[in-house]
Amino acid sequence: MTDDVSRTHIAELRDALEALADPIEEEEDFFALEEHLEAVASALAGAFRLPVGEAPSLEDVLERLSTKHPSLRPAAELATDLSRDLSRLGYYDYSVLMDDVETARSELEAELGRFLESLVE
Amino acid sequence: MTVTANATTRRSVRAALLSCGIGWEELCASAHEIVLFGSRAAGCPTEDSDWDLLCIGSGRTERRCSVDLVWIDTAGVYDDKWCGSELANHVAAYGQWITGQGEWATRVFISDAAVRRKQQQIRGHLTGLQRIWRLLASPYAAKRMVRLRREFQRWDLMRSRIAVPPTPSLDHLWLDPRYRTEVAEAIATAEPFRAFDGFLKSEFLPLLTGHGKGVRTEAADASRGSTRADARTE
Repeated sequence: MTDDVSRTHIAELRDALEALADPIEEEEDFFALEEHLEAVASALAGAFRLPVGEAPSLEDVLERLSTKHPSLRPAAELATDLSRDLSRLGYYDYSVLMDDVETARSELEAELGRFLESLVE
Repeated sequence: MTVTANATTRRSVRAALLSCGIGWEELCASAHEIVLFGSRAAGCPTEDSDWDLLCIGSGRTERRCSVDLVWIDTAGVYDDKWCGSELANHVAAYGQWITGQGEWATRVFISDAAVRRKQQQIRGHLTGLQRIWRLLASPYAAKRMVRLRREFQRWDLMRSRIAVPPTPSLDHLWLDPRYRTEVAEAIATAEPFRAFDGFLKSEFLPLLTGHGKGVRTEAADASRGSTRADARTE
């Protein structure tokens, strides 16, 4: 792992976080969020040169990165919460999960935004 | 007619519950009907397959290690909302009853609302995917394609009022080139996905059917079977 993150990777991460900023307002947004989370995982894995052969989930990527960057620990926990809630979508009425998912999404966006800024500095 | 689980399956379910800290007696006290569904019920589990259990009674839907407990309230089990749902139809067709009779399972039908919900879900995925597609490394693109391909298969079956089989069966179906062509044509001409025409026809469908050019060969390969990454996620 290296912290030598290129400008290209920073730009990709910024684009992925921009997608993650879309608020959850209706059922379709939950499924778009699944894709946005994967984009963040892909961008982070690329930026930190993690192996992507099995396309690790965002919680897996953050879990690995947080061993070297403890500031990512809250983001890893939020990503785990989000993943759990999204996996329940098939069984619940989406409105039951709306508040929890939107809160976790918004906090995750903020955590990762701060991390990105720390990389740029 | 419902299928009753044999003694071996019952023992395996009890062992799985026990290993996840769920007591059998405790579960039976809250659920008057317990049904094994998903790939383990259909006899096509992978090494990563969870134990999916539908419980009719009073409890909280939760995942505990390898066990997924899905609770449906007794009062709602004959409602059109449940009987018309994707999950109810899947359980009625592929489930194995551990306890209870499953009288409700004779009343299932795939409702228009369930088909519309599946369309909504796919539109959500497409909205997200077309926005971030260029950002995905090839293994991620492959993983997302397989996920979405399976959703399209489910939609295609549901609109024909056919219960959705477990995921490994969907992957097996996809191996048939004629079936692949039929589903791809259905996607390309479906009104609910018209808004995504550009992305579907220029990016998604060529890769899905193996006619795509460019660097994402892994995604095209994955369209003909599940990736290792995706096998873990469903």
